[in-house]
Amino acid sequence: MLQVNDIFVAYGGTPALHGVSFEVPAGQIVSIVGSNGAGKSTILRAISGMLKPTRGVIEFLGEPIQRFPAFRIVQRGIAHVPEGRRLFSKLSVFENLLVGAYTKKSPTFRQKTLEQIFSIFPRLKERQSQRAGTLSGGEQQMLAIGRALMSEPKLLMLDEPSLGIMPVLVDRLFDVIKEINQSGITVLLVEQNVQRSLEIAHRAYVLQTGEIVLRGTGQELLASEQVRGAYLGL
Amino acid sequence: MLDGTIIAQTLLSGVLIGFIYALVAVGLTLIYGVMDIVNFAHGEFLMLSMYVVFWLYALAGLDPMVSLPISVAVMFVVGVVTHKLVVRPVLRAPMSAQIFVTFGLMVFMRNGAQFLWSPNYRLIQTPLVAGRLELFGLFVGKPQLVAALGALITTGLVFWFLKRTETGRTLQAVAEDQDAAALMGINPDRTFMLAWGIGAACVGVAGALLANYYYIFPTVGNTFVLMAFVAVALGGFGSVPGALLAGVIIGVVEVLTGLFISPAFKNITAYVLYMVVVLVRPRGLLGEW
Repeated sequence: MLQVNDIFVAYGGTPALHGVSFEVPAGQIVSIVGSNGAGKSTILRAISGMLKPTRGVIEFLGEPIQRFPAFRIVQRGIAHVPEGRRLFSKLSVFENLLVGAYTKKSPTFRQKTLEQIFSIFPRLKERQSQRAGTLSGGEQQMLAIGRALMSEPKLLMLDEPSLGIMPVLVDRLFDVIKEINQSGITVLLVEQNVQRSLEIAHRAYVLQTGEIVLRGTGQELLASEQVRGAYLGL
Repeated sequence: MLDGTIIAQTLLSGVLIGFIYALVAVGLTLIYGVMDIVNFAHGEFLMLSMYVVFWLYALAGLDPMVSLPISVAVMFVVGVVTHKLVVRPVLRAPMSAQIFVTFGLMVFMRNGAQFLWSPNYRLIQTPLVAGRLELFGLFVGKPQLVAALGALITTGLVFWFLKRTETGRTLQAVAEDQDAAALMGINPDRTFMLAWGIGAACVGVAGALLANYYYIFPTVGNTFVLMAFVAVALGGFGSVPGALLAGVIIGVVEVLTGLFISPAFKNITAYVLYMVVVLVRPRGLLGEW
């Protein structure tokens, strides 16, 4: 579904990614793990069009998208839940969800999708008229995911969804990610919670200083000495 | 002797002019709120719209109330073109370029108007809306009343548009976080164009309403836009209700100063008020940040 071929990205002259290649097959959960500053967020930002790679090709459903502006990539079916959630804090929960459906104008579609999102996240329904800025960290993350789902993505990209969430909610969050995947949405997940994200991943990559150093199924990487030593402290 | 009637009369005229300040301020605050750029040429937009109305009157015999929609349409286009030709090229340039580009536009438009139309004061001699009427023992000029009501209604419409329509929501989203808005599929550049169009259209309304009774000359924008700047800061950058409240406060402070101290001090008290607010409550009366 998504094919990333040898991309290079630099921030103001400093290289952040050098020659990263990987693929996300339709229907799977793919995790990219790695320490802080390895370039995980940069990969997602390059895919969603917030950064332009200096070299390389990003193909989505057979179409090269690396030159598209961000707003066109959403129309193609990729939703990006950015690091730090980036909600519209002055708008209500309900309004945030409507902005998420910007590319889908049909009222019946919106109604149907809203109901689905409210059934996954009942808290959002209770708080729909509240300002997004007043939600707790966990609720904000639910809203950020809900907002992304409103665009009916084929591929959902999540950047550090477990960051800033109460530990008791982290399990629930990973269950939700699995649920979303089972409903037919492909998931690309970037996480510092290596254990949990490898557990749910069909396929996973380890990123180190802008390069992919290990690849395999989630189970394979969980069992690998390298991952256990460097990331799981075992 | 000051009696109640004089004070009430003065307050009324302060509120009426305050609505105009508010409408000019709404245009400014909208552009600022959505893209963090101060339109220093906003007063010149007002001037231009007054000349549009004047020339439609002088050359085609159209009354300002008839040419109001034309003025709005022309100014919307002026706003969009300003974004495309003047502002967009410097969006990635250093901050100073962003500040000076609209300042340069202001100088250009002001001098262009002097060159094309001379510095002479012009007046629409026989507008349809003229004369005055008595309200509860107070006298009020009909053009002033119409202008104030028109400004109030327009401000209300802009507020409703921002809060209750899909496009308004889009503007609010881009105002808060343009990258996040782009991730929702919103084209930020189109939204910027729209903010400029609507911001300029607001002064298109104000200019047509003012042309009914105010002198028209190349620097006419100054009088209004300086007060509008104070209203934007006093009300809170980006806040439409704030601009309305602050516009009225400034109008009232201005006329009360004229009455109790001296008309020459009108601006001074408005600025003193502004500085006090900046020191005590820098985000403005209804500001959000």
